Amino acid sequence: MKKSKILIVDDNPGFLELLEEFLCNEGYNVLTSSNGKDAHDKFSEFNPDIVLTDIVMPEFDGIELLMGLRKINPEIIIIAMSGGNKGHADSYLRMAEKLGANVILNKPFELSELLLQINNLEVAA
Amino acid sequence: MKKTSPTLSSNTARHHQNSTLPANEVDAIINSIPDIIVRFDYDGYVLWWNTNLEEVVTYSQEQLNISSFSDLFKPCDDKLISSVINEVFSQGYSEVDAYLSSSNNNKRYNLKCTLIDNDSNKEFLVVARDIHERLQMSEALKKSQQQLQKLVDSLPFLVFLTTDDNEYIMANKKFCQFIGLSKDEIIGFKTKDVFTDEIAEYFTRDNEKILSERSLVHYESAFKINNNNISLSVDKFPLFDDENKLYAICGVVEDVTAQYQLQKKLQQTQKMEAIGQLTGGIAHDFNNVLASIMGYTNLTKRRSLQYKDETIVSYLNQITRAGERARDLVQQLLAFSRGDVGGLKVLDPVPLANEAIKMLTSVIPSSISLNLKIRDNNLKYYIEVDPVQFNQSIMNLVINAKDAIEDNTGTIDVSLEYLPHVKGICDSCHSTFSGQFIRLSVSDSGVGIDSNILGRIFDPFFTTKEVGKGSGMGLSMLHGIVHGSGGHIVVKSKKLHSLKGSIIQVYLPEVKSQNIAETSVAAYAIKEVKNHHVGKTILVIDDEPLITQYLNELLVDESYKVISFNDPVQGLNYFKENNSNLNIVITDQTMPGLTGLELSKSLLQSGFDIPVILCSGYSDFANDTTDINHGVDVFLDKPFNDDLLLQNITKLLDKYH
Repeated sequence: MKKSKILIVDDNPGFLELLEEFLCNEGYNVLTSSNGKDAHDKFSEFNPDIVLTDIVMPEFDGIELLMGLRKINPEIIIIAMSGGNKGHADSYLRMAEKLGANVILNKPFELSELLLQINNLEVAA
Repeated sequence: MKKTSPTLSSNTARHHQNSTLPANEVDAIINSIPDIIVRFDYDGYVLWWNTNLEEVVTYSQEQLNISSFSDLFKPCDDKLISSVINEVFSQGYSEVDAYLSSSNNNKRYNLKCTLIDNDSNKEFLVVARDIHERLQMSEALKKSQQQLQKLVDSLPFLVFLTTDDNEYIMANKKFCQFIGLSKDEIIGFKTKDVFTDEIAEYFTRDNEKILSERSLVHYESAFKINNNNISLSVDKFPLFDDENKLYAICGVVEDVTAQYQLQKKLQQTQKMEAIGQLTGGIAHDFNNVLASIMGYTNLTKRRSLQYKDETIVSYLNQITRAGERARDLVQQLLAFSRGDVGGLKVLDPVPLANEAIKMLTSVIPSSISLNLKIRDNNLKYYIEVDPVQFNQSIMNLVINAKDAIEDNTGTIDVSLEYLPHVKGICDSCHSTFSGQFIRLSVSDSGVGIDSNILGRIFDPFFTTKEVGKGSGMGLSMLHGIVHGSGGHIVVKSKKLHSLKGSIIQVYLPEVKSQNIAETSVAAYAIKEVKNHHVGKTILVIDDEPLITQYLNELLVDESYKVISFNDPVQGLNYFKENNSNLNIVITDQTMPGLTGLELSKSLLQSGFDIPVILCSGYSDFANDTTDINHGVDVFLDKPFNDDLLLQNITKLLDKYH
């Protein structure tokens, strides 16, 4: 099976690099972005299968990105992740799920858990 | 009036004929004395008198000549004239207060009656002094003293006067009550006779300071009195007479125990709030940091596997384990600072408690007897908690109880009961609470809690356990979990009552519910409506249909009525036509045609008094909303956080309605 194209969005550069390296090592075609607006701009050109996005970000948050991308491609697979901010992570993730995130992940999470979720989504797709 | 008597002049001449002073001088002297002087014969009849008598009586000289003692004077008390005369003749002297019978002045006189024994002839002399004024002054002084006493008695302070040697001269009622002695009893006592050595020492030191500095001393200090800790505010100052000599030291002492405790509670409450906010903020940042640490460790482990270096793998495993511990700790901190109520479910606490006790049986040594008592077993009652956290709370409390039992021999009693009328003060948030509660009590026969650490047991990371044995987060989490459910905690250390062990009582508000499904940690029940603003109407304006749809679902689920618009101008027009039916406005900031701020400003300018929540993104005001208001009550940062949103809606509806 051909490995998916994944767009990773997170404002934490360390974590972004980590996910990039991990998913590249797993054989995925990965593109990174450090905020929602940039990701939105890159989306059409890169045309990913999966978007893995943080929620609390400056400029254009994960929720706005999620809604924006759904307008471009209603079928896009979106994984939302959060460690919380002013509110608890659960609350942000509940909203992301309601607005159509396929999978939600509470930071910190196991990389194997992320991999498992991606695999499941790929199979389901 | 039986016989005539000579006048003073003739008598003085007669009686003083051998005197070295001429008779007229003697007359002058006697008449210049302000007292009335009358001489009586053995039978009590007037022999002579000075002119003062004539000035105050209505009798003529002729009448005076034939007057007797009883004609002139009438004793004030019940004393008989005859007994006065008898006393004079038998004892040589008598003293009595009397009125002048023959006068209209109604004044009181003090009579000093002295026997004149001339061998053959016994007479007596009466010197009558007008004491009316003196008595009036004395009466006025007494009244003034009574008023002063009443005044000091009515003061809510302990007031006393002592000598410089700490001997009591005077004390007010409050002081006497405090000491347990009457006002009369206390006079003459010294401080060391009525107070503990500790206070007596303080007071002696005060006096030394007052004497040397001749000025006021003030301090507040806690004293142990009758096994109670009493906080006293003490003011002591010297009193000087006209010659600037110190004649007494006045003490004004206020029992400030209640104020002190209130102040302490206020500080404690603010401390818990501040720690909660701090830990909550740090915990979320830590989540993000830990995500990187644990992720990179994982990546490194995967890479290093190919080198088959077990040492590196074991090192990395250590990092992973440390990361996992940190992650658990962050969860505990979040439980402590929890402000949201996301995971709350309406539950029957009995099966949950049974389940927790079953799990604990394997952890608690058999030498400790662990009992669960469900009182009023036939009663069904419900609480609103996060089932996992409730379970964790019981586990933590019982494990704490186990750790408090020395030699692993003792008893732990867990009980659940329904209390329809509770009134109490929370030992962790320090607010008062009342109403219907379910009480979970965990009581042990352990070492108890020292009173000096009671104020700190809910602080994060506070522990009395050995290093490595306790995280110090157990009771902090309990504080967060219980208060997240609207509950409170009462701590009773039996040490305070010379008993063994302690009792932690968790009060959770009773929740009325009709739709309760199976209750267990794994399968919990339907959430009941907690909202007390059911049916209030919320106008939602956001150009993003997905958001209005989401908010619609969220708010309807919380029993609000929702009217939403994606076009802000339409929303504003709707508001203007239907404002009386609307209770709150939630608006986005960035919308085509009209921003949220412009919309709110328009409502304000049109005179509408309605709460407005404005949701703005990071860049809308560069997060600086300090100078912006325009009728907006709450600025909420995007992305949406439904718990924060719901909390703010409740707060604003509470405030406006």
